[in-house]
Amino acid sequence: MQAVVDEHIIAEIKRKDRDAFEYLYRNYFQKMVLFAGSYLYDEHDAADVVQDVFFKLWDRADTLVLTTSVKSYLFSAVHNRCLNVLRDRNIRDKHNEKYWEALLFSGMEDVGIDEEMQRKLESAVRGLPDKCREILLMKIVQGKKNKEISDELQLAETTVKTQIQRAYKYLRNEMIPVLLFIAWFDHGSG
Amino acid sequence: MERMDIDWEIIRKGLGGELSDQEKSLLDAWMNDSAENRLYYERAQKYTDQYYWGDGKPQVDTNEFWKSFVKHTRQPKSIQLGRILRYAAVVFLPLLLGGIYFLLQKTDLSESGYAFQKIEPGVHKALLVSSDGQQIAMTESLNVKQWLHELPVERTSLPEKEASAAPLNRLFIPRGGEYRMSLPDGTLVVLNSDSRLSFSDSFESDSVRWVHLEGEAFFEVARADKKFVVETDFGSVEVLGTQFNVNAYPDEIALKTTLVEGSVSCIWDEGKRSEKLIPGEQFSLNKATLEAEVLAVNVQACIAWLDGRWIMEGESLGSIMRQAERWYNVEIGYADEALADLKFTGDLERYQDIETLFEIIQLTTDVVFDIDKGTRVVMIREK
Repeated sequence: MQAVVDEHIIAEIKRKDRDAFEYLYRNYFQKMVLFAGSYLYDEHDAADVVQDVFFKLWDRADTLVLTTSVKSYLFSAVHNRCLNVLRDRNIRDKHNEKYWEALLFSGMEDVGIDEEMQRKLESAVRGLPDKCREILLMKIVQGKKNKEISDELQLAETTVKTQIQRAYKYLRNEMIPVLLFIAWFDHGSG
Repeated sequence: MERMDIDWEIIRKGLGGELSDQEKSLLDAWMNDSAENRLYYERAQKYTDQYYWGDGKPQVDTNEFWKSFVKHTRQPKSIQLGRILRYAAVVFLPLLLGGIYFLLQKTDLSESGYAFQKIEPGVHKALLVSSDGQQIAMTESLNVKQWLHELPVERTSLPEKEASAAPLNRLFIPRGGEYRMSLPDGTLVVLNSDSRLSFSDSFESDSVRWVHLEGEAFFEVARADKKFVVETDFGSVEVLGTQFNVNAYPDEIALKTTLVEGSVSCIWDEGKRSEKLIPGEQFSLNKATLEAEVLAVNVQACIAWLDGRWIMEGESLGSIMRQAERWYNVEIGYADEALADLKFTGDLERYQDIETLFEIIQLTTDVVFDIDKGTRVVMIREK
Protein backbone atom coordinates (compact mmCIF):
# COMPACT_ATOMS: atom_id res chain seq x y z
CA MET A 1 0.00 0.00 0.00
CA GLN A 2 2.72 2.45 1.01
CA ALA A 3 4.58 1.80 -2.22
CA VAL A 4 1.50 2.53 -4.30
CA VAL A 5 0.87 5.76 -2.44
CA ASP A 6 4.51 6.76 -2.76
CA GLU A 7 4.66 6.17 -6.47
CA HIS A 8 1.57 8.26 -6.92
CA ILE A 9 2.79 11.01 -4.63
CA ILE A 10 6.25 11.25 -6.19
CA ALA A 11 4.68 11.82 -9.59
CA GLU A 12 2.46 14.53 -8.09
CA ILE A 13 5.38 16.19 -6.33
CA LYS A 14 7.29 16.36 -9.59
CA ARG A 15 4.33 18.12 -11.15
CA LYS A 16 4.33 20.52 -8.18
CA ASP A 17 0.81 19.51 -7.34
CA ARG A 18 -0.25 21.47 -4.31
CA ASP A 19 -2.52 18.70 -3.01
CA ALA A 20 0.45 16.37 -2.85
CA PHE A 21 2.40 18.90 -0.82
CA GLU A 22 -0.55 19.47 1.46
CA TYR A 23 -0.71 15.74 2.01
CA LEU A 24 2.96 15.76 3.04
CA TYR A 25 2.40 18.69 5.39
CA ARG A 26 -0.56 17.08 7.05
CA ASN A 27 1.17 13.75 7.49
CA TYR A 28 4.72 14.63 8.31
CA PHE A 29 5.12 18.25 9.35
CA GLN A 30 4.47 17.76 13.07
CA LYS A 31 6.65 14.70 13.30
CA MET A 32 9.47 16.31 11.35
CA VAL A 33 9.34 19.22 13.80
CA LEU A 34 9.59 16.83 16.75
CA PHE A 35 12.43 15.08 14.98
CA ALA A 36 14.34 18.33 14.33
CA GLY A 37 13.51 19.49 17.86
CA SER A 38 15.59 16.66 19.27
CA TYR A 39 18.66 18.21 17.65
CA LEU A 40 17.88 21.89 17.99
CA TYR A 41 16.00 21.95 21.31
CA ASP A 42 13.71 24.69 20.12
CA GLU A 43 10.41 24.08 18.37
CA HIS A 44 10.49 27.35 16.43
CA ASP A 45 13.94 26.71 15.00
CA ALA A 46 12.83 23.16 14.29
CA ALA A 47 9.75 24.31 12.38
CA ASP A 48 11.88 26.74 10.34
CA VAL A 49 14.23 23.94 9.34
CA VAL A 50 11.33 21.72 8.30
CA GLN A 51 9.72 24.54 6.35
CA ASP A 52 12.99 25.07 4.55
CA VAL A 53 13.16 21.38 3.61
CA PHE A 54 9.75 21.74 1.97
CA PHE A 55 10.81 24.84 0.04
CA LYS A 56 13.87 22.98 -1.23
CA LEU A 57 11.72 20.04 -2.25
CA TRP A 58 9.45 22.41 -4.18
CA ASP A 59 12.37 24.12 -5.90
CA ARG A 60 13.93 20.86 -6.95
CA ALA A 61 10.70 19.03 -7.62
CA ASP A 62 11.01 18.78 -11.40
CA THR A 63 14.47 17.28 -11.25
CA LEU A 64 13.82 15.19 -8.18
CA VAL A 65 15.15 11.64 -8.20
CA LEU A 66 14.01 9.55 -5.25
CA THR A 67 15.52 6.20 -4.48
CA THR A 68 13.83 5.89 -1.09
CA SER A 69 10.34 6.56 0.15
CA VAL A 70 9.19 10.17 0.35
CA LYS A 71 9.14 9.87 4.13
CA SER A 72 12.76 8.70 4.28
CA TYR A 73 13.73 11.52 1.99
CA LEU A 74 12.07 14.14 4.18
CA PHE A 75 13.49 12.82 7.43
CA SER A 76 17.03 12.45 6.05
CA ALA A 77 16.86 15.99 4.71
CA VAL A 78 15.96 17.24 8.18
CA HIS A 79 18.60 14.99 9.74
CA ASN A 80 21.33 16.37 7.49
CA ARG A 81 20.46 19.95 8.25
CA CYS A 82 20.37 19.31 11.95
CA LEU A 83 23.76 17.63 11.91
CA ASN A 84 25.18 21.03 11.03
CA VAL A 85 24.08 22.26 14.43
CA LEU A 86 26.02 19.50 16.16
CA ARG A 87 29.02 20.32 13.99
CA ASP A 88 28.83 24.00 14.91
CA ARG A 89 28.76 23.04 18.58
CA ASN A 90 31.70 20.66 18.06
CA ILE A 91 29.65 17.75 19.27
CA ARG A 92 30.71 14.29 18.15
CA ASP A 93 28.05 11.61 17.95
CA LYS A 94 29.97 8.45 17.36
CA HIS A 95 27.18 6.05 18.32
CA ASN A 96 24.50 7.81 16.33
CA GLU A 97 22.66 8.29 19.60
CA LYS A 98 21.26 11.59 18.51
CA TYR A 99 19.55 9.93 15.58
CA TRP A 100 18.03 7.31 17.84
CA GLU A 101 16.81 9.94 20.25
CA ALA A 102 15.27 11.98 17.45
CA LEU A 103 13.49 8.89 16.15
CA LEU A 104 12.28 7.99 19.60
CA PHE A 105 10.86 11.37 20.41
CA SER A 106 9.23 11.99 17.07
CA GLY A 107 7.15 8.82 17.49
CA MET A 108 9.27 5.74 17.23
CA GLU A 109 6.63 3.64 15.55
CA ASP A 110 6.93 5.82 12.51
CA VAL A 111 10.31 5.80 10.86
CA GLY A 112 11.99 2.67 9.70
CA ILE A 113 10.09 0.31 11.93
CA ASP A 114 9.50 -3.13 10.57
CA GLU A 115 8.22 -6.30 12.20
CA GLU A 116 11.64 -7.40 13.31
CA MET A 117 12.25 -4.11 15.02
CA GLN A 118 8.79 -4.09 16.53
CA ARG A 119 9.58 -7.50 18.00
CA LYS A 120 12.89 -6.29 19.43
CA LEU A 121 11.22 -3.25 20.88
CA GLU A 122 8.55 -5.37 22.50
CA SER A 123 11.12 -7.67 24.03
CA ALA A 124 13.07 -4.62 25.27
CA VAL A 125 9.91 -3.26 26.89
CA ARG A 126 9.29 -6.65 28.48
CA GLY A 127 12.79 -6.49 29.94
CA LEU A 128 11.99 -3.38 31.95
CA PRO A 129 11.40 -3.71 35.69
CA ASP A 130 7.68 -4.13 36.38
CA LYS A 131 7.01 -0.73 37.93
CA CYS A 132 9.04 1.04 35.28
CA ARG A 133 7.20 -0.73 32.47
CA GLU A 134 3.82 -0.02 34.01
CA ILE A 135 4.60 3.69 34.21
CA LEU A 136 5.97 3.82 30.67
CA LEU A 137 2.90 2.09 29.26
CA MET A 138 0.56 4.39 31.18
CA LYS A 139 2.39 7.38 29.75
CA ILE A 140 2.77 6.23 26.15
CA VAL A 141 -0.08 3.82 25.49
CA GLN A 142 -2.73 5.40 27.70
CA GLY A 143 -1.39 8.92 27.16
CA LYS A 144 -1.64 9.80 30.85
CA LYS A 145 0.02 12.80 32.37
CA ASN A 146 2.73 12.40 34.99
CA LYS A 147 0.40 13.81 37.62
CA GLU A 148 -2.33 11.31 36.78
CA ILE A 149 0.13 8.43 36.94
CA SER A 150 1.50 9.57 40.28
CA ASP A 151 -2.03 9.88 41.69
CA GLU A 152 -3.07 6.50 40.43
CA LEU A 153 0.00 4.64 41.67
CA GLN A 154 0.37 6.80 44.76
CA LEU A 155 3.92 7.79 43.93
CA ALA A 156 5.64 11.14 44.04
CA GLU A 157 5.50 12.95 40.69
CA THR A 158 9.28 13.16 40.62
CA THR A 159 9.43 9.37 40.98
CA VAL A 160 7.26 9.00 37.92
CA LYS A 161 9.55 11.32 35.98
CA THR A 162 12.65 9.43 37.12
CA GLN A 163 11.07 6.11 36.14
CA ILE A 164 10.28 7.42 32.66
CA GLN A 165 13.87 8.64 32.30
CA ARG A 166 15.08 5.23 33.40
CA ALA A 167 12.79 3.47 30.95
CA TYR A 168 13.98 5.55 28.00
CA LYS A 169 17.59 5.08 29.00
CA TYR A 170 17.15 1.34 29.19
CA LEU A 171 15.31 1.21 25.87
CA ARG A 172 17.97 3.33 24.25
CA ASN A 173 20.71 0.96 25.34
CA GLU A 174 18.72 -2.02 24.11
CA MET A 175 17.77 -0.48 20.79
CA ILE A 176 20.94 1.29 19.67
CA PRO A 177 22.47 -1.74 17.95
CA VAL A 178 19.25 -2.22 15.99
CA LEU A 179 19.02 1.42 15.03
CA LEU A 180 22.65 1.61 14.02
CA PHE A 181 21.89 -1.16 11.58
CA ILE A 182 18.88 0.68 10.22
CA ALA A 183 20.77 3.95 9.91
CA TRP A 184 23.45 2.12 7.97
CA PHE A 185 20.87 0.37 5.83
CA ASP A 186 19.03 3.61 5.01
CA HIS A 187 22.17 5.46 4.13
CA GLY A 188 23.75 2.49 2.41
CA SER A 189 20.80 1.89 0.12
CA GLY A 190 19.74 5.50 -0.25
CA MET B 1 42.69 28.73 19.39
CA GLU B 2 41.51 25.21 18.55
CA ARG B 3 37.89 24.71 19.58
CA MET B 4 36.99 21.99 21.95
CA ASP B 5 35.24 18.78 20.92
CA ILE B 6 32.82 16.90 23.12
CA ASP B 7 31.05 13.54 22.89
CA TRP B 8 27.30 13.63 22.72
CA GLU B 9 27.26 10.94 25.38
CA ILE B 10 28.61 13.42 27.93
CA ILE B 11 25.98 16.01 27.14
CA ARG B 12 23.29 13.35 27.37
CA LYS B 13 24.60 12.16 30.72
CA GLY B 14 24.68 15.76 31.90
CA LEU B 15 21.02 16.16 30.96
CA GLY B 16 20.21 12.94 32.77
CA GLY B 17 22.30 13.88 35.83
CA GLU B 18 24.58 10.85 35.50
CA LEU B 19 28.01 12.48 35.12
CA SER B 20 31.19 11.38 36.85
CA ASP B 21 33.42 14.17 38.20
CA GLN B 22 35.79 13.86 35.30
CA GLU B 23 32.99 14.00 32.75
CA LYS B 24 31.52 16.98 34.53
CA SER B 25 34.71 18.95 34.13
CA LEU B 26 34.73 18.10 30.41
CA LEU B 27 31.18 19.38 30.09
CA ASP B 28 32.01 22.57 32.00
CA ALA B 29 35.02 23.20 29.81
CA TRP B 30 32.93 22.75 26.68
CA MET B 31 30.27 25.13 27.97
CA ASN B 32 32.89 27.71 28.86
CA ASP B 33 34.36 27.40 25.40
CA SER B 34 31.58 29.48 23.84
CA ALA B 35 28.41 31.23 24.90
CA GLU B 36 26.56 29.39 22.13
CA ASN B 37 27.54 26.03 23.58
CA ARG B 38 26.18 27.06 26.95
CA LEU B 39 22.97 28.33 25.39
CA TYR B 40 22.60 25.06 23.49
CA TYR B 41 22.97 23.06 26.69
CA GLU B 42 20.54 25.24 28.60
CA ARG B 43 17.94 24.95 25.89
CA ALA B 44 18.47 21.19 25.85
CA GLN B 45 17.84 21.03 29.58
CA LYS B 46 14.65 22.97 29.31
CA TYR B 47 13.41 21.14 26.24
CA THR B 48 14.04 17.61 27.54
CA ASP B 49 12.57 18.45 30.91
CA GLN B 50 9.44 19.86 29.34
CA TYR B 51 8.90 17.50 26.43
CA TYR B 52 10.79 14.29 27.10
CA TRP B 53 10.01 13.55 30.71
CA GLY B 54 7.35 16.15 31.29
CA ASP B 55 3.86 16.35 29.89
CA GLY B 56 4.37 19.11 27.33
CA LYS B 57 4.25 18.72 23.57
CA PRO B 58 5.93 21.23 21.30
CA GLN B 59 3.12 23.27 19.77
CA VAL B 60 3.55 24.15 16.13
CA ASP B 61 0.68 25.25 13.95
CA THR B 62 1.02 23.20 10.77
CA ASN B 63 -1.69 25.25 9.07
CA GLU B 64 0.22 28.45 9.53
CA PHE B 65 3.33 26.97 7.89
CA TRP B 66 1.24 25.44 5.15
CA LYS B 67 -0.34 28.81 4.36
CA SER B 68 3.04 30.47 4.25
CA PHE B 69 4.28 27.72 1.95
CA VAL B 70 1.35 28.25 -0.40
CA LYS B 71 1.91 31.99 -0.39
CA HIS B 72 5.58 31.67 -1.30
CA THR B 73 5.13 29.07 -4.00
CA ARG B 74 2.24 30.64 -5.87
CA GLN B 75 2.32 29.84 -9.55
CA PRO B 76 -0.86 31.13 -11.16
CA LYS B 77 -0.47 29.26 -14.43
CA SER B 78 0.08 25.84 -12.99
CA ILE B 79 -2.79 26.29 -10.57
CA GLN B 80 -5.20 27.05 -13.40
CA LEU B 81 -4.01 24.09 -15.37
CA GLY B 82 -4.31 21.97 -12.27
CA ARG B 83 -7.92 23.06 -11.79
CA ILE B 84 -8.88 22.27 -15.34
CA LEU B 85 -7.26 18.87 -15.12
CA ARG B 86 -8.99 18.20 -11.86
CA TYR B 87 -12.43 19.05 -13.23
CA ALA B 88 -11.78 16.94 -16.27
CA ALA B 89 -10.78 14.10 -14.02
CA VAL B 90 -13.91 14.51 -11.97
CA VAL B 91 -16.00 14.10 -15.09
CA PHE B 92 -14.15 11.21 -16.68
CA LEU B 93 -12.48 9.30 -13.95
CA PRO B 94 -14.42 9.63 -10.73
CA LEU B 95 -13.98 6.01 -9.77
CA LEU B 96 -10.27 5.93 -10.38
CA LEU B 97 -9.72 9.14 -8.48
CA GLY B 98 -11.86 7.92 -5.65
CA GLY B 99 -9.77 4.80 -5.45
CA ILE B 100 -6.51 6.67 -5.36
CA TYR B 101 -7.88 9.12 -2.91
CA PHE B 102 -8.95 6.31 -0.68
CA LEU B 103 -5.44 4.93 -0.72
CA LEU B 104 -4.05 8.32 0.22
CA GLN B 105 -6.69 8.89 2.78
CA LYS B 106 -6.19 5.54 4.38
CA THR B 107 -2.57 6.26 5.11
CA ASP B 108 -3.49 9.78 6.03
CA LEU B 109 -5.70 8.45 8.75
CA SER B 110 -3.24 5.97 10.11
CA GLU B 111 -0.34 8.38 10.07
CA SER B 112 -1.86 11.71 10.85
CA GLY B 113 -1.93 11.11 14.57
CA TYR B 114 -0.07 9.14 17.12
CA ALA B 115 -1.03 5.54 16.90
CA PHE B 116 -1.27 5.52 20.66
CA GLN B 117 -4.01 8.11 20.77
CA LYS B 118 -6.98 6.50 19.12
CA ILE B 119 -10.41 7.90 19.69
CA GLU B 120 -12.12 4.96 21.30
CA PRO B 121 -15.83 4.35 21.64
CA GLY B 122 -17.71 4.41 24.88
CA VAL B 123 -17.66 2.07 27.83
CA HIS B 124 -20.23 0.92 30.30
CA LYS B 125 -20.49 3.70 32.81
CA ALA B 126 -23.09 5.76 34.63
CA LEU B 127 -23.57 8.09 37.54
CA LEU B 128 -26.49 7.57 39.88
CA VAL B 129 -27.62 10.57 41.87
CA SER B 130 -30.04 9.32 44.51
CA SER B 131 -32.99 11.30 45.82
CA ASP B 132 -31.00 12.35 48.89
CA GLY B 133 -28.16 13.67 46.77
CA GLN B 134 -25.72 10.79 47.07
CA GLN B 135 -23.64 10.29 43.96
CA ILE B 136 -22.60 6.80 43.03
CA ALA B 137 -20.40 6.08 40.03
CA MET B 138 -21.67 2.83 38.60
CA THR B 139 -19.15 1.04 36.47
CA GLU B 140 -20.55 -2.47 36.64
CA SER B 141 -24.12 -3.18 35.81
CA LEU B 142 -25.88 -2.89 39.12
CA ASN B 143 -29.31 -3.86 40.23
CA VAL B 144 -30.80 -0.58 41.36
CA LYS B 145 -33.29 -2.41 43.56
CA GLN B 146 -30.46 -3.96 45.57
CA TRP B 147 -28.76 -0.64 45.79
CA LEU B 148 -31.87 1.18 47.00
CA HIS B 149 -32.42 -1.49 49.65
CA GLU B 150 -28.93 -1.09 50.99
CA LEU B 151 -29.45 2.58 51.71
CA PRO B 152 -29.60 3.77 55.34
CA VAL B 153 -32.88 3.21 57.20
CA GLU B 154 -33.72 6.91 57.67
CA ARG B 155 -34.43 6.98 54.02
CA THR B 156 -37.62 4.98 54.36
CA SER B 157 -38.90 7.23 57.13
CA LEU B 158 -38.68 10.43 55.09
CA PRO B 159 -41.84 12.51 55.48
CA GLU B 160 -44.51 11.89 52.87
CA LYS B 161 -44.47 14.34 50.01
CA GLU B 162 -46.87 15.24 47.30
CA ALA B 163 -46.58 13.12 44.23
CA SER B 164 -45.31 15.98 42.07
CA ALA B 165 -42.53 16.69 44.53
CA ALA B 166 -41.53 13.05 45.00
CA PRO B 167 -37.77 12.84 45.28
CA LEU B 168 -36.12 11.49 42.16
CA ASN B 169 -33.23 9.18 41.57
CA ARG B 170 -31.40 10.23 38.48
CA LEU B 171 -29.08 8.17 36.34
CA PHE B 172 -26.67 10.02 34.08
CA ILE B 173 -24.99 8.25 31.18
CA PRO B 174 -22.18 10.45 29.86
CA ARG B 175 -21.13 10.80 26.26
CA GLY B 176 -19.26 7.69 25.33
CA GLY B 177 -21.06 5.67 28.00
CA GLU B 178 -23.70 2.96 27.83
CA TYR B 179 -25.49 1.32 30.73
CA ARG B 180 -27.66 -1.70 31.41
CA MET B 181 -29.64 -1.94 34.63
CA SER B 182 -32.79 -3.24 36.17
CA LEU B 183 -35.34 -1.03 37.89
CA PRO B 184 -36.91 -1.96 41.25
CA ASP B 185 -39.82 -3.73 39.51
CA GLY B 186 -37.49 -5.92 37.48
CA THR B 187 -37.81 -3.90 34.27
CA LEU B 188 -34.63 -4.00 32.22
CA VAL B 189 -33.38 -0.68 30.86
CA VAL B 190 -30.45 -0.27 28.51
CA LEU B 191 -29.39 3.35 28.24
CA ASN B 192 -27.45 4.72 25.31
CA SER B 193 -24.74 7.41 25.50
CA ASP B 194 -25.56 10.92 26.64
CA SER B 195 -28.87 9.99 28.26
CA ARG B 196 -30.63 10.68 31.57
CA LEU B 197 -33.22 8.55 33.29
CA SER B 198 -35.16 9.67 36.38
CA PHE B 199 -37.49 7.59 38.52
CA SER B 200 -39.19 8.27 41.80
CA ASP B 201 -38.22 6.90 45.17
CA SER B 202 -41.60 5.26 45.49
CA PHE B 203 -41.36 3.58 42.11
CA GLU B 204 -42.92 0.34 43.34
CA SER B 205 -45.65 1.79 45.54
CA ASP B 206 -46.86 4.53 43.14
CA SER B 207 -50.03 3.97 41.15
CA VAL B 208 -48.04 3.94 37.90
CA ARG B 209 -44.46 2.96 37.26
CA TRP B 210 -43.13 6.27 36.01
CA VAL B 211 -39.73 7.19 34.54
CA HIS B 212 -38.54 10.25 32.70
CA LEU B 213 -36.12 9.86 29.79
CA GLU B 214 -33.89 12.24 27.92
CA GLY B 215 -31.81 10.45 25.32
CA GLU B 216 -32.24 6.89 24.11
CA ALA B 217 -33.15 3.73 25.95
CA PHE B 218 -34.44 0.25 25.33
CA PHE B 219 -37.00 -1.07 27.83
CA GLU B 220 -38.01 -4.62 28.57
CA VAL B 221 -40.86 -3.91 30.94
CA ALA B 222 -41.63 -6.50 33.59
CA ARG B 223 -45.25 -7.57 33.42
CA ALA B 224 -47.42 -6.12 36.18
CA ASP B 225 -50.92 -4.76 36.68
CA LYS B 226 -49.61 -1.24 36.99
CA LYS B 227 -48.91 0.78 33.89
CA PHE B 228 -45.32 1.59 33.03
CA VAL B 229 -44.94 5.15 31.70
CA VAL B 230 -41.90 6.55 29.92
CA GLU B 231 -42.24 10.29 29.88
CA THR B 232 -40.10 12.51 27.65
CA ASP B 233 -40.22 16.25 27.15
CA PHE B 234 -42.29 15.75 24.01
CA GLY B 235 -44.63 12.91 24.75
CA SER B 236 -44.91 9.69 26.67
CA VAL B 237 -45.22 5.95 26.13
CA GLU B 238 -47.56 3.79 28.22
CA VAL B 239 -47.30 0.04 28.49
CA LEU B 240 -48.07 -2.95 30.64
CA GLY B 241 -45.32 -5.36 29.73
CA THR B 242 -43.36 -5.29 26.51
CA GLN B 243 -40.12 -4.48 24.73
CA PHE B 244 -39.57 -1.17 23.01
CA ASN B 245 -36.99 1.46 22.22
CA VAL B 246 -37.39 5.18 22.84
CA ASN B 247 -35.16 7.72 21.13
CA ALA B 248 -35.67 11.13 22.74
CA TYR B 249 -32.45 13.06 22.28
CA PRO B 250 -32.98 16.81 22.58
CA ASP B 251 -30.86 17.48 19.48
CA GLU B 252 -32.85 15.16 17.22
CA ILE B 253 -35.81 16.56 15.33
CA ALA B 254 -38.00 13.53 16.02
CA LEU B 255 -39.03 11.52 19.06
CA LYS B 256 -39.06 7.88 18.00
CA THR B 257 -40.56 4.88 19.72
CA THR B 258 -40.02 1.47 18.16
CA LEU B 259 -42.03 -1.50 19.39
CA VAL B 260 -40.34 -4.90 19.50
CA GLU B 261 -42.91 -6.98 21.36
CA GLY B 262 -46.32 -6.51 23.03
CA SER B 263 -48.14 -3.23 22.63
CA VAL B 264 -47.66 0.40 23.64
CA SER B 265 -49.53 3.68 23.48
CA CYS B 266 -47.65 6.77 22.41
CA ILE B 267 -49.11 9.93 23.87
CA TRP B 268 -48.26 13.48 22.82
CA ASP B 269 -49.56 17.02 22.46
CA GLU B 270 -50.04 17.32 26.23
CA GLY B 271 -52.02 14.11 26.41
CA LYS B 272 -54.52 15.17 23.75
CA ARG B 273 -53.43 12.72 21.10
CA SER B 274 -52.34 9.11 21.20
CA GLU B 275 -51.42 6.27 18.88
CA LYS B 276 -51.21 2.51 19.52
CA LEU B 277 -48.37 0.52 18.01
CA ILE B 278 -48.10 -3.11 17.02
CA PRO B 279 -44.72 -4.91 16.98
CA GLY B 280 -42.51 -3.80 14.11
CA GLU B 281 -43.94 -0.31 14.00
CA GLN B 282 -42.20 2.92 14.77
CA PHE B 283 -43.90 6.05 16.03
CA SER B 284 -42.08 9.17 14.90
CA LEU B 285 -43.07 12.57 16.24
CA ASN B 286 -41.75 15.77 14.71
CA LYS B 287 -41.09 17.87 17.79
CA ALA B 288 -41.42 21.15 15.94
CA THR B 289 -44.68 20.59 14.09
CA LEU B 290 -46.12 17.92 16.46
CA GLU B 291 -46.94 15.87 13.38
CA ALA B 292 -46.67 12.15 13.97
CA GLU B 293 -46.46 9.15 11.70
CA VAL B 294 -46.41 5.43 12.25
CA LEU B 295 -44.18 3.41 9.95
CA ALA B 296 -43.28 -0.23 9.57
CA VAL B 297 -39.54 -0.36 10.17
CA ASN B 298 -36.66 -2.78 10.42
CA VAL B 299 -36.81 -3.25 14.17
CA GLN B 300 -33.47 -5.01 14.33
CA ALA B 301 -31.79 -1.95 12.82
CA CYS B 302 -33.42 0.31 15.40
CA ILE B 303 -32.21 -1.71 18.35
CA ALA B 304 -28.89 -2.85 16.82
CA TRP B 305 -27.12 -0.53 19.25
CA LEU B 306 -28.00 -2.99 22.01
CA ASP B 307 -25.71 -5.57 20.41
CA GLY B 308 -22.97 -3.06 19.79
CA ARG B 309 -23.90 -2.81 16.11
CA TRP B 310 -24.72 0.26 14.15
CA ILE B 311 -27.01 -0.21 11.17
CA MET B 312 -27.73 2.72 8.87
CA GLU B 313 -30.36 2.60 6.18
CA GLY B 314 -30.28 5.66 3.98
CA GLU B 315 -29.36 7.66 7.04
CA SER B 316 -28.05 11.20 6.66
CA LEU B 317 -24.45 12.05 7.50
CA GLY B 318 -25.79 14.62 9.97
CA SER B 319 -27.74 11.99 11.86
CA ILE B 320 -24.81 9.54 11.83
CA MET B 321 -22.46 12.21 13.11
CA ARG B 322 -24.82 13.22 15.93
CA GLN B 323 -24.67 9.61 17.09
CA ALA B 324 -20.88 9.60 16.68
CA GLU B 325 -20.69 12.70 18.87
CA ARG B 326 -22.53 10.93 21.66
CA TRP B 327 -20.82 7.62 21.37
CA TYR B 328 -17.23 8.73 20.78
CA ASN B 329 -17.49 11.98 22.71
CA VAL B 330 -16.27 14.19 19.87
CA GLU B 331 -17.50 17.45 18.40
CA ILE B 332 -18.32 17.47 14.69
CA GLY B 333 -18.26 20.50 12.43
CA TYR B 334 -18.95 20.94 8.73
CA ALA B 335 -17.06 23.10 6.26
CA ASP B 336 -20.30 23.10 4.27
CA GLU B 337 -23.58 22.34 6.04
CA ALA B 338 -24.96 20.71 2.88
CA LEU B 339 -22.64 17.77 3.52
CA ALA B 340 -24.84 16.78 6.45
CA ASP B 341 -27.55 15.74 3.98
CA LEU B 342 -25.48 13.03 2.28
CA LYS B 343 -27.12 9.61 2.75
CA PHE B 344 -25.45 6.38 3.84
CA THR B 345 -26.28 2.73 4.25
CA GLY B 346 -24.05 0.46 6.21
CA ASP B 347 -23.58 -1.95 9.08
CA LEU B 348 -20.65 -1.70 11.42
CA GLU B 349 -19.52 -2.40 14.91
CA ARG B 350 -19.97 0.42 17.31
CA TYR B 351 -17.08 -0.72 19.43
CA GLN B 352 -14.52 0.04 16.74
CA ASP B 353 -12.59 3.28 16.92
CA ILE B 354 -13.91 6.33 15.14
CA GLU B 355 -11.41 6.17 12.28
CA THR B 356 -12.92 2.92 11.09
CA LEU B 357 -16.25 4.67 10.76
CA PHE B 358 -14.65 7.52 8.83
CA GLU B 359 -12.78 5.16 6.53
CA ILE B 360 -15.97 3.36 5.62
CA ILE B 361 -17.73 6.63 4.85
CA GLN B 362 -14.78 7.83 2.78
CA LEU B 363 -14.88 4.63 0.75
CA THR B 364 -18.07 5.77 -0.90
CA THR B 365 -17.98 9.55 -0.67
CA ASP B 366 -15.74 12.50 -1.45
CA VAL B 367 -15.61 13.82 2.07
CA VAL B 368 -12.56 14.24 4.28
CA PHE B 369 -12.48 14.05 8.07
CA ASP B 370 -9.85 16.23 9.73
CA ILE B 371 -9.40 14.92 13.24
CA ASP B 372 -7.83 16.97 15.99
CA LYS B 373 -7.17 14.34 18.61
CA GLY B 374 -6.24 16.83 21.25
CA THR B 375 -9.52 18.74 21.26
CA ARG B 376 -11.55 15.80 19.86
CA VAL B 377 -12.94 18.09 17.18
CA VAL B 378 -13.64 16.62 13.75
CA MET B 379 -14.14 18.87 10.72
CA ILE B 380 -15.88 17.42 7.70
CA ARG B 381 -15.12 18.95 4.34
CA GLU B 382 -15.45 18.10 0.72
CA LYS B 383 -12.46 16.48 -0.88
